[in-house]
Amino acid sequence: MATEYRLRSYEFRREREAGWAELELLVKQAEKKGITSLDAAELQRLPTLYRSVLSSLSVARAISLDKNVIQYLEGLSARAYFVIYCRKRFLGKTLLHYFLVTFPASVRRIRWAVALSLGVMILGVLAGFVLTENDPSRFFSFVDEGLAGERTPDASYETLHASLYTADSMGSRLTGLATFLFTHNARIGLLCFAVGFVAGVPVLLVLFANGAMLGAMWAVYAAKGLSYDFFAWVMPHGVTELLAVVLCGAAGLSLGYGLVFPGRFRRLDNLALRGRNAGSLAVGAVLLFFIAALIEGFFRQLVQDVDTRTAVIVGTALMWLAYFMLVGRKRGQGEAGDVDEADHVFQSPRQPKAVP
Amino acid sequence: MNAASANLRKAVSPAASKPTAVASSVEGQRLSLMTPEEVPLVFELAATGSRALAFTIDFLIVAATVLVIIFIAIEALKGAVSTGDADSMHLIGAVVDLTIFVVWNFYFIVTELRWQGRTVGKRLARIRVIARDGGPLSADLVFARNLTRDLEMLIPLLAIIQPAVIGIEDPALLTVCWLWLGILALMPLMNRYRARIGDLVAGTLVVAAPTERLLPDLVEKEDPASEIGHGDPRYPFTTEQLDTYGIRELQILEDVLRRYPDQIDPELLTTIAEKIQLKLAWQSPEGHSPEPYPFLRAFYSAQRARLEHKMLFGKRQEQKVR
Repeated sequence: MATEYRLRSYEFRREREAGWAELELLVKQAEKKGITSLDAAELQRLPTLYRSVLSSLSVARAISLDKNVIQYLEGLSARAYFVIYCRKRFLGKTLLHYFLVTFPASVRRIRWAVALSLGVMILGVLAGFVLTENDPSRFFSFVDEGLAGERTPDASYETLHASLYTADSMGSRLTGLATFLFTHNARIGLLCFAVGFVAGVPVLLVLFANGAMLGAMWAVYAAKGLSYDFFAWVMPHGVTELLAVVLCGAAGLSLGYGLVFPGRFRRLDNLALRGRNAGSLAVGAVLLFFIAALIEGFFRQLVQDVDTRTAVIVGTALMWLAYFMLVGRKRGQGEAGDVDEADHVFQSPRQPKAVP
Repeated sequence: MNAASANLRKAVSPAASKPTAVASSVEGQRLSLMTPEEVPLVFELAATGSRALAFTIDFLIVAATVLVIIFIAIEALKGAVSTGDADSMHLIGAVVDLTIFVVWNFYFIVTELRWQGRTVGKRLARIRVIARDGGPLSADLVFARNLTRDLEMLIPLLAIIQPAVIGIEDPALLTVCWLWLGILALMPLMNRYRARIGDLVAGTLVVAAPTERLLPDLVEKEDPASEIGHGDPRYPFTTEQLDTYGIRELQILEDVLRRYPDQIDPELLTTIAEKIQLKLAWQSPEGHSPEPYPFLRAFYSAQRARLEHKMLFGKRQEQKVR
């Protein structure tokens, strides 16, 4: 009367169990101490065991109804997958690679967005300048009163001249100033990138408004014949800082563009594609803000000589130009897969590389 | 379509709908990801609660780190501070500013990069970040997903705490503004990946990463000497009886049995055993009603054997028939 069936799933489990436990131990160790903590023999076992567990999973799905076994195998396979294909990053190496390859490459990749955001900012400068020159009372539409301080259209030549050539008190106050400038600007820059998610419109506004502010200030100084002095004062750090703003803006624009015009990809995939590039660009821009703040906080306050200031302007401009045009052009090919897939993002599907 | 044009399609469609080695698809709360070995791995999207928990833990770590660094800075500059001059106050202000900026912005980036998507909080909440296409979490991806945090979390929060920051008085515009902030903050509730904006921008997902333990097989006899998989002679079942229930019921029974003996009410076991006996019209050969736990174990073994047997012949019986 009693019908009996042999439980293949039980025998299957009994045969394979040892391998699963072995892999689990290896994975646990790799997760805790890193894959480098495994010795040569263990490393050799890892891919073999991983494949056998994956095959166990396939078999278990087909023949076993033991939920615990299937869930266990799914979890174990996933953990092993990540240990093997998504290795821990070594921060130093990643950073080096980032600044030597990824960052300049990601800027070059969206050069049209960079050009556009630079254009919008220049447009802002011109608009601010022309409008303020025609009617100085418009100055406060562009520049916040607190920010302007004494530098208003009504200020005398002496006041304006002094604002360009007076050294602040030395020492820690400069550090405070530099830090404030850095954190403030970097926050705005990162926000500029983030709002790119909203189709990029706010980015254009921020770029234009920043440009207009600069233009309005310029008009005030120009009215007193201090144009050259003004630029010698603002540009030593301005080159770097405005570049950083432009880059963040470009990142935001590229993000917005990716969202609005998905091209041949699905919208979300395209957004991810551009988002990764834009995100890495925004982080690089934070470093630019940092450098700019150092120049602004220390150099500008300590050096009063117009010629030296001009030299720094030209120097930084040439340096950034060379950096973004030349660095990382060749190296992107060979080692990219090793540390960072960024350079392949636009060319080929991201595929996990086999374990060497 | 010939091979050349197929290759071309592959070459021009990175991360598009049909990549070659790694694909992901979402069904409800589960996501499957094809490994290069062509075995789909199934992930559960992380629950909102787990994500909130992970974030809270990480946030507390960030806050604690900031406080400790500020405290150390103040201790180190104690001499300067006691004189109360403006310079040292500036210095402390600078340290505080920089610390908050760096720790808040880079804690998540560094930890996610270093441990492949598992910050301390995420580990404790048993979740992790993965790339939607199954690839490694590279720097650009981690940057992108973490730089939007201010936009989607800090700004809406600030707007709630201090509505004046928005700086718009027109009620209509204000409504639009709130709506916009709300959409940004509540994005995870509005897409199938439950992704926040950072996740969308970077193409990442947060999934549950449970560490399931392998428990003893329930078909194993408590007495290891007896033969396995032949049912318990004390509790025989007929094929007709075993054709009643399906896989769903079997796995619910598995859950119940795994909770034995500590986490289950013995009354419940008795109720279940009686219900099954009633449903199958099962008569005890011994004449009196059996012990619930051994009976259920025996039934589980027999039922699983029957269902697996049917599965081998291509018939998956998902549910009970009547």
